[in-house]
Amino acid sequence: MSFWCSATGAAWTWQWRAYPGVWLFIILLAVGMWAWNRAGARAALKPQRPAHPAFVGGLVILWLSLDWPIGALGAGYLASVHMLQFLLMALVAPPLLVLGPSPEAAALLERPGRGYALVRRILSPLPALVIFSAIVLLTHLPPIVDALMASQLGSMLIDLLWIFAGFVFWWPLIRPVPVQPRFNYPMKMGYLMLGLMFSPIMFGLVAFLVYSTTPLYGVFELAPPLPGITAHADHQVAGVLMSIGAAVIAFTGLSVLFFRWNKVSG
Amino acid sequence: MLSMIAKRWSLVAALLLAACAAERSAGTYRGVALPTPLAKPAFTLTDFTGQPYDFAAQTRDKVALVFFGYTHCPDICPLHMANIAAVLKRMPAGDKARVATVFVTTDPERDTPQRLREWLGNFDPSFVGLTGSLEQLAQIQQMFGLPNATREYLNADSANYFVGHGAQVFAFARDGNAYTIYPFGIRQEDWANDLPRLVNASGEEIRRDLAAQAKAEALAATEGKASSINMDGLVVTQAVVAEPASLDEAAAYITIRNGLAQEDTLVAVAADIAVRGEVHETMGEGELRHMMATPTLVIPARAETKLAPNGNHIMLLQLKKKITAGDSVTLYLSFARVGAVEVRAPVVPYAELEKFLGLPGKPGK
Repeated sequence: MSFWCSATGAAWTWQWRAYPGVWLFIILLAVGMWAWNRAGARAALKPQRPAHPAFVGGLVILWLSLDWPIGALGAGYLASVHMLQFLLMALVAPPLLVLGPSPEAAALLERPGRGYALVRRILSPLPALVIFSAIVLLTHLPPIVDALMASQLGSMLIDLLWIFAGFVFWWPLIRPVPVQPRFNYPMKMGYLMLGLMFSPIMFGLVAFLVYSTTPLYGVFELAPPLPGITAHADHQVAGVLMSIGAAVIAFTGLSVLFFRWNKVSG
Repeated sequence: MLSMIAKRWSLVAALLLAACAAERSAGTYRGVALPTPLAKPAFTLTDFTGQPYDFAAQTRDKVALVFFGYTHCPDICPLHMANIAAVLKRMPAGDKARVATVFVTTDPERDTPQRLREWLGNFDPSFVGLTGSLEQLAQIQQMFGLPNATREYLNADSANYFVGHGAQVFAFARDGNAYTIYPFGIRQEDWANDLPRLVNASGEEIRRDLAAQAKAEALAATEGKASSINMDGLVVTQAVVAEPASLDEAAAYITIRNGLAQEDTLVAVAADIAVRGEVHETMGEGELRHMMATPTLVIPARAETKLAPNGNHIMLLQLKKKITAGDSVTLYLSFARVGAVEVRAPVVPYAELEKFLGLPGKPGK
């Protein structure tokens, strides 16, 4: 039994496999959010609120993207499923997870102290955008992907970095803590476009995946093949998925921001 | 305007990616150079149309890529075929016509001519599938220096089995010699680099380029630029060199523990104190016992492989200097899967080998 999905080199079968590390991680996230919300409620001398339904939805999406079969296929067989995992873990689940902390829990971040100051700094728009872009670039570089995906710890590191990057990226857009007076709706829309729609990192990755004559990632090129899917086509699908997926998510986010802005201003 | 910005950003990111992806220079062969070129063996098998196929005659003046495998293989065989096919597809028609890809089955019972034709046709209709009797196939594998393919039964169902076979593609240049082999792990970009060169270069040019490449790699190794120790579940221990009686050659012994779920293949050996290294097999018994160089050595999964006296061992040939007990030698081992492994080996008196290797009794000569 494996702790986490990774590239094993074994031929793919549709036989279910257990990944207890994934279950443990999901449970830890749920317990961690509960504890954070409890601390927030105690500090505010208010009763603890139940978890936001969106947070539960985010957890379910994370679990589905990390566990068999998506987790296993994405870790060691198909670049396209690996890309689907990236979209789910960094762009779909995090905006839902960010809704998890109650206002009282989020207010804890305003406390004095170096640790809180660092968290506030990271969750500010510019550092968040830089951290997100840097993680997206690093976790898609072929030498890094090929080196890390072969081990369970390496594969887990990539997954955790994606979740962290997504959480950091979406937080300033969704939560007003720390307060960013100048980060108004037009700025938020620009942030979203720069991070997803017109990101040089995303453009570069998509270009390489779609137009490269040979597959980018050795781990997927040399994986036991699945019938009817060539490594080259698989990489092209990954590129298209990243391009369309990021655009759709960005467009959805832009629409929400636009209508909220409209509502607030008018 | 937006598309211009997008293009510029794409280029910046693309260059960043390219810089990180470029691991090897384009001017070198990506295949593993054979210590001694392998002359094209002469044999005739039955092709997938049922006609006799004279390998030497049919592939004359062509680059011949030969692979021993089976169509029920879940990983290595379809990968090699898919990667070769993908690269051939992008080659100019003239160059492609000068490449013959020959797939020799190691599972003639299940690989009927029809199945071979259908399976290979999925990759490239120009691929040729050959079959024969088990005895014929065993003889031909021996000609290539390969161990005979063996069946590994998965369960009591005798129809359900894997076949253990060589994982490398032999590339015969147009002059009829194989100078390089392509183990599992070779990628499309490697084929795309080597195939056009093999098609357009003479044997002499290939020999010269490989010699220059080996010299540069040896220089890099002695300057400490060799790739770092790679022990991705495969560990080399008990490395030792027997103090040689000769000034010209020495024997080295190692133990390889492969903890991975898949077999690996030792494809090349070298040492800092020798011009070249070879893996030798000890063949026969008694007075008929002799040594023979083998191009590759399969390292079974989840097992320990000992290269020890009276069995497989490493020969370090054309020593650059005299070595005596107390010296140490750096061995460079290249595995198909885990890559390069560098290991220090002490030089010990022959009489003390058993102590270092943990062998029962004294090693024979």
